[in-house]
Amino acid sequence: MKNNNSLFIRIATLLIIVIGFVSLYFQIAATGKSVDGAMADTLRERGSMNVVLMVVGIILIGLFVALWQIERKVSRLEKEINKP
Amino acid sequence: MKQNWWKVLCVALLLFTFTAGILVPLGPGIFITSNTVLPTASAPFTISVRGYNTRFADNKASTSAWLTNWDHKKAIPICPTDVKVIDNTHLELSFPPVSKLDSSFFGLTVYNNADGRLYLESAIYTSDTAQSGIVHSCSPVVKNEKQDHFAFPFRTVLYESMRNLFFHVPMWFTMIALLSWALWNNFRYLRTFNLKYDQIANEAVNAGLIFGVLGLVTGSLWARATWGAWWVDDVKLNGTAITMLAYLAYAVLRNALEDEQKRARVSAIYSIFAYVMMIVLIGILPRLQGTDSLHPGNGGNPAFSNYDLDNTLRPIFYSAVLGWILLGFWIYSLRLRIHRLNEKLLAS
Repeated sequence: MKNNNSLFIRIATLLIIVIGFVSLYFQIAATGKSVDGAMADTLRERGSMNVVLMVVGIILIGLFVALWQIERKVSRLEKEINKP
Repeated sequence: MKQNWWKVLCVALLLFTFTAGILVPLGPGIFITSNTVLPTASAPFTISVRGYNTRFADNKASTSAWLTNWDHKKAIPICPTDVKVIDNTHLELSFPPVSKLDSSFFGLTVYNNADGRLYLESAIYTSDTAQSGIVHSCSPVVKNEKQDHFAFPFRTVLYESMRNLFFHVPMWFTMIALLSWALWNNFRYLRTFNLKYDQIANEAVNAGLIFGVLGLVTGSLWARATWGAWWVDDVKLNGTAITMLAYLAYAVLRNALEDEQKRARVSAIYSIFAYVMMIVLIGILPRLQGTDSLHPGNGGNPAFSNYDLDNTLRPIFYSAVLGWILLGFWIYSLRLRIHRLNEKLLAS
């Protein structure tokens, strides 16, 4: 039961992060569009801030994967220690 | 806490990197949104200028603009008859009939006291071959060369993606730092045959690979935005791909060998060769003249020069490099400690 719970929390955290990034991306895209039409769009595309955000996002995801690996190793250790 | 000071430093440096790297604005710059080819040299024309992070309207009094052509390598400014400031980012310039002197290209400069001198090279082109003298030559007044606030330099093609300097580039610095630590421990193992050093080298390579993969993926994304393709035929890219494969093979090789001492010996020697190959492939080959590379500092391009590392970027870039390297060693040390605990548990 406890294990299930922590898995749920992990998946929920991941979901929140992914949704956060996606919504942030669309929000920025939307503000870019509402400023002054087509010209702002091309400038925003040229401004390419979205590339920076995606790069930061990828690095964070990579670090989360590394964290996940460490977590798995620790739980394996815990299992080993708790074995009678 | 005393031994963990470097982790605190790591967090502080990365916090600084993320806040400054994302929040510091880009310096002002200009584009032309109207026709950039002069139809005939003998008619008046208007240019619509779009500014990026500019403040034309706030500094209306000092906002001026002029075209530049060259007469025997001497820049001759050509002033407009009217400068219409629409808002902070829009200008409309009306020019009298002009014709070229030495060059068919005219540079455009927009100036005000807050934004400094904004120059757009080859802004206007004329197909007219006649070389009549230019009228309306003038002498513009420039008080401040640069903008009045701290900002990253404005570069065409790169624009805001310049900030990736603090995220993509330090990935490679971290990978090389971890792999160098692995190399040092390979040597230590081969001198002492103590398995302790083999473990250190192995975990350093594993942590280094994470950063290598992140560097490749983020680089690919950046290349799509600025070079137009996910993967371009660049010596540096192909070199890193080969290096990553060599180190992945190292991981496979380790799993294939059963005997501990034998595994440690073979992988230490293999790892030393892989490191040498990495230095040659990503450190030396791309820097040779005649190789075709888009990376700064390669194929004869200068690196760490004024062209590609502005002084405003330096303090943040250096703290980013140190911060990411410390994070890499943090991950490596966690993995190593778990590995050691595992060994101890298996032995008991």
